[in-house]
Amino acid sequence: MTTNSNQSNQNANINYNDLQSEIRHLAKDLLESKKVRIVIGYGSGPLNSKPVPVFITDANDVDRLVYNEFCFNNLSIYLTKAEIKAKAPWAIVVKGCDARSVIGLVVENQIKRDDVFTIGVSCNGVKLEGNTLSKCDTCAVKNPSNINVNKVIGNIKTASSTSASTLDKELEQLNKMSAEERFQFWKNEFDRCIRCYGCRQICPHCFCNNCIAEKSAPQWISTTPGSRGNFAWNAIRAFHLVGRCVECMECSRACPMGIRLDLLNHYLAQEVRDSYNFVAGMDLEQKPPLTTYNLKDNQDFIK
Amino acid sequence: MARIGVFVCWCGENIARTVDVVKVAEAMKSIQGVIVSLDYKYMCSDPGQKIIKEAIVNERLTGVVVALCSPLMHEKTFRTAAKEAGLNPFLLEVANIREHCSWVHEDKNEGTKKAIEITRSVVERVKQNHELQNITVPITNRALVIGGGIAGIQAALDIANGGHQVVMVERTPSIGGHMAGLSETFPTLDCSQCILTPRMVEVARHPNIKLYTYSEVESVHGFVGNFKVKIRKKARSVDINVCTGCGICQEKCPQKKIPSEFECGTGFRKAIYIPFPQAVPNKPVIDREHCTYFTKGKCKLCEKVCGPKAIRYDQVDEYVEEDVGAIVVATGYEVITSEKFPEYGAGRFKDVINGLQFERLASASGPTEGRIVRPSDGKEPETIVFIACAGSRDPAKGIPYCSKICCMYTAKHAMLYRHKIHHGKAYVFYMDIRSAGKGYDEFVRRAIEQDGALYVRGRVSRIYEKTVNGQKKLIVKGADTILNKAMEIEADMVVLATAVTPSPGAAQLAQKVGTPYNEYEFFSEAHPKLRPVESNTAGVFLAGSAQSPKDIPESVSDASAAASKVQILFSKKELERDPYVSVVNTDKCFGCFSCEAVCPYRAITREEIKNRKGEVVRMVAQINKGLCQGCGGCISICRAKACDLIGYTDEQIWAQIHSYPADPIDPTEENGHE
Repeated sequence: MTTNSNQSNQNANINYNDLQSEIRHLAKDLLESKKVRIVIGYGSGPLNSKPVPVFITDANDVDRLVYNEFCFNNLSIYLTKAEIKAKAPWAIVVKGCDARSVIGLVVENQIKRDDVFTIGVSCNGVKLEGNTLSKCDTCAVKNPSNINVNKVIGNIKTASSTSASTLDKELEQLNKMSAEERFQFWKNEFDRCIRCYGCRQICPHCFCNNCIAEKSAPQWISTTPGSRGNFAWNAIRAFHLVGRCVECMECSRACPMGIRLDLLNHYLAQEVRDSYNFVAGMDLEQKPPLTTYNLKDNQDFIK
Repeated sequence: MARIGVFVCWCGENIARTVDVVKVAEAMKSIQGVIVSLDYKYMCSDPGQKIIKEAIVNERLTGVVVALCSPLMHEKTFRTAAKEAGLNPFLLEVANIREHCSWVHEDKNEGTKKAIEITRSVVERVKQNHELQNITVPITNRALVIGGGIAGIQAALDIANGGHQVVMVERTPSIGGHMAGLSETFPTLDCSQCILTPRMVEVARHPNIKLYTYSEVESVHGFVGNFKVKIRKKARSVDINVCTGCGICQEKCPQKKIPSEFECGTGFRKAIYIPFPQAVPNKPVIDREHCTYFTKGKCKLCEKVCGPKAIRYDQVDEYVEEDVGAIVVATGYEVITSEKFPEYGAGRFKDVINGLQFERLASASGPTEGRIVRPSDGKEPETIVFIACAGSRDPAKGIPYCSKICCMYTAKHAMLYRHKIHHGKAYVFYMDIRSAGKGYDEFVRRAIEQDGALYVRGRVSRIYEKTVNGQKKLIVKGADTILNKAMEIEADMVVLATAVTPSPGAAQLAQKVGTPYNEYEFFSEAHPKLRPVESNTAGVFLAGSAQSPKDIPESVSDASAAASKVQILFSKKELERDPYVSVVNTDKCFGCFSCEAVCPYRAITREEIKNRKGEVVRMVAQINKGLCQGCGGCISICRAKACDLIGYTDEQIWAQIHSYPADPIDPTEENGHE
């Protein structure tokens, strides 16, 4: 995964202890007042730099909640799990990017907006193994107050960077290639795939209970790791995420083979933004563009 | 175990010329499950069908493939034959080796190879076919007619007189269309209004016709026999149930200088107006764009003078829904304006007008009461030039087609001019004279021979203004291509027979109705010869100039034809349709309802899945078989592949794809062909 350390200094401005205690305070309130049955948040793991998800059901346990600059996981994945679903309503600790996932899930009828209380934490980028994640470069929701969250915690004021992010630069390089070179690039990427489906398992938006990859009659995607099946799997998954992916980049973090899923998803997100002026997970009222039909849709592509 | 019969047709020479049909039939024999495979000169003939029927019975076939022309031609023929032989008709499939193969190829070897692949793929598909039953849906015996011109009026009256309900929607404040504004009609010179207005009145009085004027179709949902139409009744600002049509409001309205749409800009109207004296309904409408009250906030003179108090300034657009079983599109035409012609002054010269404007000048009910005068100074033109094909048949103007009506009306115009101004000179510039039709050529000859219209074969290159002896003249520069010489005419007035185009908004309406249109936005017929008044959308019919430029007799016969098609549809209580609809596997559906968003027929509903305690555990999509048209939109959007199309299942498509030889592009692929 590509990382960027330029911004790590800015994180010093954030007082994580304050954020953490505010989260704990809010969680206690919510549980005591029985507004929610579970608080999904981050807890301390074996390493300080790798917090793990915790599920708090008892107001006395709120001190298990932690928050620091290493809280990179997108916890919204749990909202579609049957065990959690059965225990609505919930509260969930989300960064801006994760909050977009929650909005996406509501838009796609997977959860009800009223079932979830989003604790939106201001974030100036999260760190993985010492480096700020590349997705944080151009984040437009560092302070999630501009999207639909129930409560904003912390108040950082950072305009999103106007200079091109690492991903944008890489994308530019990719677009300069000839079609054959680009095809070869992706073939090289996908050839490494071992079909562990980690990308799918960690993705909050891969919520089908029967994935097309497991469809057997007929089997559209070969399950054997090999060029053909790998290409089919990765391309189909990318298509399935068009206009829905919020670029939390958990898939690319989970991938043990380092396939550039972050670049692929960023590319598709750019396409959707350019073609439909749509950014996923920003608005509860807007359906993903590929699932809507409008007489005013751009029809320039019809030759 | 599948027992498949394959029947390959020669189609005389049509297929056999480029496909070795004997070889195709032979090749099919090696496929597992194929019991019989043979060829015949004309499969669609009676003996051909007999071969298939006998094979079905004798060989106890479980599936049949006929390799021949497009299924559009003969699928029904052969499925009926299969049914007669006791086989479920949906176990018979057509392999198209004519349109998709023999007609588009020249090399017989390659053609044969391709025909074998096509037929093999359909054999594999048929193995996956299941017995299916047709779906029956009820029909609403009520028709919608869009457009209240002569075509719409005729269609509505015919359907209504046939005993069915009709809903008519007209965009403007009155029905009548362009015909209401014409002076006299070729080739008999009947007064246009005299023959039209009785029919307009009949529409208004007909107990079976519900009339919505000043209204537009907002949306159309559903399918043949079961359309749901949303109609926007635009705010008229007048309660037409209260208004008596006395006209005092119109008389008193201070806004006098608004170019009248009905007069094609040759005359004026008020801000509250009845478009023309014979309008149906004969009730006024307020043009809010020009009304002093709506633009400046005060006036309300019409309200003050209105006896029955019918003025409603606060009226808003109203929406109504109507259920109909068939739709007749009769949206008519428009003509392009002279602004499109920079070479003829681009609309700057007041005395260069178009044909519809001339109609108003020549009409007894027009702004000049039938006196043909120059718009610029009101003087009678001594020399008038008519230019046919202004824009039509001119690819440079984007209109390569013939507007059809101009040759005739230009002859009529020249004639009317000469009848009214005996000493005047009427020149007609033309490319060809197209006067096919009963009494049409005689009419043109009469204009030339009896009424002395001066016909010049050639085009006009330029028109410009010049003052000659103190009088403003239009200099028309053209060529007479028969005498092969340049011509220059000092004219007082020029009439352009400008090209006929579809009504504005035709394409948007076509999209709402869901029916195809051509590149010029004329509605497309299902077949140019055999199904001229049907669209490709079942239950949607076409009448008049919405389809292509048409004159009055043609529009009327179209309308009657469309009305007859509607009545054929209404003659049944139920409609049988093929069973190709989508189904949802509710186990796989995870309720994202993307299908609901993409479904153009609103066939997707939400269903609750409950547990034993009766609690709702999740929501899934369900498909209304009556509404579903089997377009497959839901299937391609469904990420979990929970939707499948009966008759075109994934299994069938997969079997078909699989029957093709392994991917020749990448033979080194390690997995090979799965």
